[in-house]
Amino acid sequence: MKLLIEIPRSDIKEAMDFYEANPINVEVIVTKKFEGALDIINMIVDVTTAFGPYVIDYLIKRKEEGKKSTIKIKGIEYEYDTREELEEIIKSAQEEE
Amino acid sequence: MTIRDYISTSRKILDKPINNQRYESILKDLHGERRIDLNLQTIFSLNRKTEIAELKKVKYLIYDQYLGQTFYELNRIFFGAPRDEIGLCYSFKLIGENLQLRNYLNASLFFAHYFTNFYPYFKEIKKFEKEVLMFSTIQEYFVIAHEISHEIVANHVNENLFETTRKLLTKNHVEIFDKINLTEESITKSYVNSLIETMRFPEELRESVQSQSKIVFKGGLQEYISKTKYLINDRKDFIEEIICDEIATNMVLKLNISSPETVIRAIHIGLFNLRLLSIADRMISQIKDKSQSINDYFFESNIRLNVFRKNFETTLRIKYKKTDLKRFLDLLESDTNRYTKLIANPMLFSTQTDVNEISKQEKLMKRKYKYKEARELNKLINKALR
Repeated sequence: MKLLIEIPRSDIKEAMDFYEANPINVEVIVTKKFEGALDIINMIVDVTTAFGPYVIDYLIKRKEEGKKSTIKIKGIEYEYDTREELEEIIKSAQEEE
Repeated sequence: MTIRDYISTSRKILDKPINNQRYESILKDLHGERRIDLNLQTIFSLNRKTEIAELKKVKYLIYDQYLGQTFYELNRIFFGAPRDEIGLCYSFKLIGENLQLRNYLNASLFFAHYFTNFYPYFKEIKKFEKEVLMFSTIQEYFVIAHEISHEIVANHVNENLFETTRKLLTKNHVEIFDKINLTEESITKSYVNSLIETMRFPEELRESVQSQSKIVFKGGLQEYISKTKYLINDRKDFIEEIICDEIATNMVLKLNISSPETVIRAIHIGLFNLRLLSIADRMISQIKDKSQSINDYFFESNIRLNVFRKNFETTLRIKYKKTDLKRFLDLLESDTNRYTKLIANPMLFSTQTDVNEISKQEKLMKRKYKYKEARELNKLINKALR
């Protein structure tokens, strides 16, 4: 199952670190939409069974630090407040596959 | 990972036929002699967004065919709708779909229900098939040309063009206020007229609406000028959009698809269409993220539209040697009024009020669903909206 993570462009260094540490499961995409450069960095993450916990840790750590991240699965934006809720979203998406 | 992975995670893909050949041909027409390395990906997604994405040093132009279909629907309403309930109905669809994309499924279903209630009015739309098709085609050419323009700007344009554009904008859109008499009162009066007409407020409320509206324009003309100066001097991305609008319009004009007046008129309406879609998107974004201000965006896009009109008035005079432009400029103004009345105001006033009301309802704003529940709700929404 693949997940899209959008984070502010100001966190680009963090995105590149996450990519460099996990080049097989993470890809960074630079985009430009019609209304100018959006201030976000896109990362596609391949959420395999082994890599899933790392992604969850990464997103929860960002949340705890008060950093903004948006997640999308098949174009739908999901909201989560806790680790359990995030695990549930990922588990449901994996089951759907 | 491939560009397809990016597309399928970032967008809700709809199962609709795709006419890749048509868009390859548009891209080829627009490329002309230039060498621009863009790999076209035509898709059909609920997001209605065209973008350039770079992956592993390859650049892709992602064109969303649903955007073209939406242009067609909005142009059909613009030309043939006899009443503003039709524009209102379409704005319910746009809001419902944007809510669906952010998983506000109960709220989306609420707007889907509104949409189906109003849908019978669509039968009243008068047919202007030739005009609607022509305008939609020109708008699709423009959107693709605009993306190519960003590539041209990134690779071939130097800082001088940005500086010249800033100077021109200052002259035409800031210094002009030294010569005309535009008061805070006249701006407020025009806003109140629109509000009373769209919301169908009784005349007795005019005084109270007028006094409340003064808050909206607090700061008056001075603030307007200072915000315009900020856009011109401090927002390079805004200047790039202006430059790309101009390059893209010239690219479309060069193809002689129709008369220069029709091309400019169609792109003018196209910019209104794009603004409407962006407002629908921002209305839902700002439920959670208050930094997505619609007022600031609306202001910015108004300046962009003013610049577009001024630029192409000059192009028609100088390049196409059109001396008497009064009739054409009147036509652009009546297009603006018609679009505002039939499509923009229902979205900006009536639908915005509904979104504000709904966002206070906790049950409707639920975003966390069990998988099966989400599937059932999505089925109902899809059935109503598409």
